[in-house]
Amino acid sequence: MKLQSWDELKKYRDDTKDETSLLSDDSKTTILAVGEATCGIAAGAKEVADALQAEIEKQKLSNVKIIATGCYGCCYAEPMVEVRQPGKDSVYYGYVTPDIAKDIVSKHVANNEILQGNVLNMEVLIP
Amino acid sequence: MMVDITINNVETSVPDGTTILEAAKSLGVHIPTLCHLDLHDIKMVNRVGTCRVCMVEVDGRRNLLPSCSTTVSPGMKVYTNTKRAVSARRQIVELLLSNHPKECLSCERNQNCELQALAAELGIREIHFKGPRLKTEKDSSSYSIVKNFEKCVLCRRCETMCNEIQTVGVYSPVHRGFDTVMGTAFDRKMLDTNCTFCGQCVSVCPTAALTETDDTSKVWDAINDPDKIVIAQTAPAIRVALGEPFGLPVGTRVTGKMVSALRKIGFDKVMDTDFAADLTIMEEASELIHRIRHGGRLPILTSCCPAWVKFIEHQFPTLLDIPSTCKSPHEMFGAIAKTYLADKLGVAADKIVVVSIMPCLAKKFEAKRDELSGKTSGSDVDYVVSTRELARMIREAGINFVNLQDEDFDDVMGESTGASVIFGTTGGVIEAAVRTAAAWLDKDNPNPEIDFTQLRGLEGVREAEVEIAGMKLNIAIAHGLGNARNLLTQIRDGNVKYHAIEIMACPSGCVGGGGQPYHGNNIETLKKRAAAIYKEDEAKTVRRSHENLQIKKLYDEFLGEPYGEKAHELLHTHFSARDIL
Amino acid sequence: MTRQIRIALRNCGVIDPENINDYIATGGYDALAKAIFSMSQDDVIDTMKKSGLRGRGGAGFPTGIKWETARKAKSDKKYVLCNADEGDPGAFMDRSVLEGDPHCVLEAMAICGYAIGASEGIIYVRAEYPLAVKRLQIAIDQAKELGLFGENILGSGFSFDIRLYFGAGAFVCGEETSLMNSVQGGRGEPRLKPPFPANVGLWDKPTNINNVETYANVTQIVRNGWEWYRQFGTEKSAGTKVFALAGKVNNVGLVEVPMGTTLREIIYDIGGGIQHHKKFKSAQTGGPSGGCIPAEHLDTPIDYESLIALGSMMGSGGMIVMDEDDCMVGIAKFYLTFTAEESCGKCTPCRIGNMRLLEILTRITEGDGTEDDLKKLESLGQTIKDTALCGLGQSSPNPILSTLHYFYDEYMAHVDEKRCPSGTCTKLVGYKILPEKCTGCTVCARNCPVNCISGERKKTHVIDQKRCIKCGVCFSKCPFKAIIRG
Repeated sequence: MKLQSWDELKKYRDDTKDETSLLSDDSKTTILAVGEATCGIAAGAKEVADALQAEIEKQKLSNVKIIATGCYGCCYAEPMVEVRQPGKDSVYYGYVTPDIAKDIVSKHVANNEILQGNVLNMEVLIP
Repeated sequence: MMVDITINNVETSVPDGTTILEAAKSLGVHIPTLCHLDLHDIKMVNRVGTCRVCMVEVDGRRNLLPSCSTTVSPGMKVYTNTKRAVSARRQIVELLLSNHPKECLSCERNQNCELQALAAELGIREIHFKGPRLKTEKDSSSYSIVKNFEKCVLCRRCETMCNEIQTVGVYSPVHRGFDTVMGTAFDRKMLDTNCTFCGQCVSVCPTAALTETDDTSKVWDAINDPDKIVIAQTAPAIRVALGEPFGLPVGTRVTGKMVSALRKIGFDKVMDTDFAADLTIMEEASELIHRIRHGGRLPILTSCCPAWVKFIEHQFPTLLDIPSTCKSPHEMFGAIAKTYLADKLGVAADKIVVVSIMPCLAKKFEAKRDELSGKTSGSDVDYVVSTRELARMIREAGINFVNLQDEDFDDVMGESTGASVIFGTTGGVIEAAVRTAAAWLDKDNPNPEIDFTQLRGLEGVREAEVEIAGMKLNIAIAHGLGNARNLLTQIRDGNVKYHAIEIMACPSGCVGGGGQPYHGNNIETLKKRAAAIYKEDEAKTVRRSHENLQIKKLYDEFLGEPYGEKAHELLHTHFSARDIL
Repeated sequence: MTRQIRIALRNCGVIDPENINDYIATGGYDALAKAIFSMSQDDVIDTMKKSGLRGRGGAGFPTGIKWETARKAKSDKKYVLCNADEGDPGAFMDRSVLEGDPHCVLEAMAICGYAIGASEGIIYVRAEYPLAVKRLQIAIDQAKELGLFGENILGSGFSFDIRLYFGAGAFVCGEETSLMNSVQGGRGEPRLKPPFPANVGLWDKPTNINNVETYANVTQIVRNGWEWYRQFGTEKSAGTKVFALAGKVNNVGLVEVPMGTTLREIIYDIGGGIQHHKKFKSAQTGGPSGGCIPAEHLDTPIDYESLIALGSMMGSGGMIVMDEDDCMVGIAKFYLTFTAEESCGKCTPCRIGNMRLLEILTRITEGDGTEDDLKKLESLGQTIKDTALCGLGQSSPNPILSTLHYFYDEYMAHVDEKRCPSGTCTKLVGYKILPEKCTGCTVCARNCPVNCISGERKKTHVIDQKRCIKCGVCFSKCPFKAIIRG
């Protein structure tokens, strides 16, 4: 499909909005974004993403989507996983291992229980 | 538009686009250079700015600027000799010297080296930066050119000459950083490249990184061998350049001194390639007329230039039926010397050693070509030495060249006409051919034209229409292989119709050959040599090749008809396609 | 992530770079549409000029003026080039942008194409960035499919195409004229300037060339206006700059801060300070072309001019933090080794000069240097700076000149006392066991790779200095701090 005008571009944006990884407040999806730039991949991001996927399947969670995103800039803390939920501040996890990834799904996503020891943006922990 | 600038506080006004270096020169301000080279008339301008010797200070500019490649801008205030500029220049030269084999005493370019001269000019007394030099292997594989890039300063003149002017593209820098060196494709030996051995790279090399293959010791050996009859033959362009290494003014004709010097060196006979040039015209003019009359392939291309022959073999293998099948004059000389002359002298052919004194390095390779040997005895020509090598031999023999008395060439193959002399410059071969063709075709005209000045000049490609006995001949002339390429491309694509074409590989023809004394980066040198060639022509009483009495005798006594059977056997050759790389 | 303002990196770590819809959802390609439908070519250039954006590749040339020159150049064909040949050791901001947000570069190139009148864009990207290459190609394909590139974009009549060209890893190809030679299939060697690429560039046609990070700022400037962009940064250096923070700092990574932020803020507030609570010694900015900035200048607000005044430069934004354990002579030698190896070899000062500088530095770090060598470093360094052909050569002595300037004492210690104060120049280091502290535990002897430590159990051990290779293993293994270095 070739867009023929600026209006068509705008319409296309509205039409595809819900399929993107950018959440609106009324969205139902939880997005698990894994930093998969070269730095993240080198630190083990692919294994982390695989572990997230396996745990989602194990827990039979729906409405959870994993995306590969670019570099978060915090190379020291790679691999990183961001939990993006509608209406909430993102939670960024650093130094994620496949085991921690499993916990992110089973505890944070499934039970809303933030893994306090692995959070990078500590301000989300302040009520 | 004129631009006002000041150089060392002197105001001047120069045309827009002028470089600082040119502007300085116009004020009489000297700025030392190394990589820079401007042979404007043949379009050879090396303005790569690699050496960084010509740096000058310009008000308001953070860095020093290379004067050779920076054009002036309005209000520019240039200082050429500030402490900063001078000390930077010195350090640059010290750096070059720190990476240079300091064997000046035994170097081919001793006392004739631009780097040496520059170091002297800047008064370098100590090299403050010491470190290992870059080691490279010397390549003496070719019969013509020796590559010793340990002495290379990466001025890139050879590259500009070979790639842009000659469009052959043998050289390109390879590797990086300190290891950077001029290399050939796939690091091939020179003999295995598509090099035409024109030697123009040698002509412009400021150091001894590129030199001729030295054959003088072999010649000395032959001269000192009592069993051998050693015959020297001298190309037309030698006699207008050989005076230069001995301090005579550029353009001095030294034919008589040259003959005398060769005898003093010990050659048994001193004869003239000019004689063979007349012979070439006999054959080539006959071939042209033959092709015109019998509907042969036109245009006919001259084939006296071996670099040009190798060029067409590599670059235009589909056009190999166009060049004249004539051997080049010195090869004809060799073939006749080892048959006719041997008989006359009453010696066996294998006792005769033919040494060609040539302005050319490609002739050295040519002499080794398989198809140019075997019909007589060994090679038609045994050794080729360049003008520069001959000058060395004269010095080595302790001959006071300047004060020599003029002497004449030996008989049998020593007589020549004005037509043969002009072989030495661009347009000369074709003019010589036209002189004879005009006389032959216009039999009723008691006074056929001699000076076809429309064929002369330094323009890269020239075209002229010559009318002979009602027949219009379209003639083209190219010198420099880039110009030749343009012309050949046109011919291949069928865009042009000519009867005859002269091509010389070296810009300006043989006077600017790769074996000539270094022209000092001065195009005037080449022009003066060419002017001397035409003076030599005018001074001759006989100026048409077919009127050479010794030539007539050669045909009567030995060859029979021009372009006949015997002539074919001894004086003609063939070409073979070669790889483009 | 406090104090950071993300403009170039705004989508990195936010969107899925392999899904164009993500990019479009953030307002992507609106800037291009805005430019072609509601702005004239001159409007775009005017906006770029007023924004104050300067080239992020190192030299900081005003982007708007570059575009304007290319716009004014008359030609049947013009090119938009993107320099994605990021080569400074320790710099990876361009890679991150390409991997995390490829569309923002593509969109900016199209905007540039519209502004200068070009219809072809080429991204010169390192083949060593396979992920960036892959994501760029996906992005180009997806955008083409939607008609955002190619003929008649969005029905506007403006056509623009982009393709990739892979660099083979020569550092010098990050220099714009070498890059163009490389695209043309030639040797990566700088050309003489002038003429500048905006007039005589790729295939001798007018060419605008900017680096990745520069383009990454463009879409936001066009969308939000130059006034918006001007609120960030300083008077002369507008906007933000991405730094690749590396070395002895706690939070290694990419940071994007407004121009004018101080080194102290970047290193301590964002970078989390120096590892292991050691003392900050110096920050190296600008990669091999830059210099080392000492502690006394930690509070200098960073912009193009201030860094040059400190003897360094912005470069592409690498920032390597060094602590007391780093030898500044060794650091200078490290960078010189890099430039000497990566020099294209075209001009004398860079080809031979840098090698001679390196040899002198090597002498110094091996204890064979003299005070005269320091003078030579200074004078030859200045000559190379003055005379080299391209920017890379002209800036190659900076690591030496700046460390000579700020850390002369350290050089003197090397040449005068044959001592390396930070103990990293192995040839100048010796290890000694203090008898009063040695307990004879044998740990050092057991760990010594050349078995040159002897001594009976529970008795003082001794190092055979003749056989010692100065690896420092004993020093780090001794549980009683009985081994000293000096």
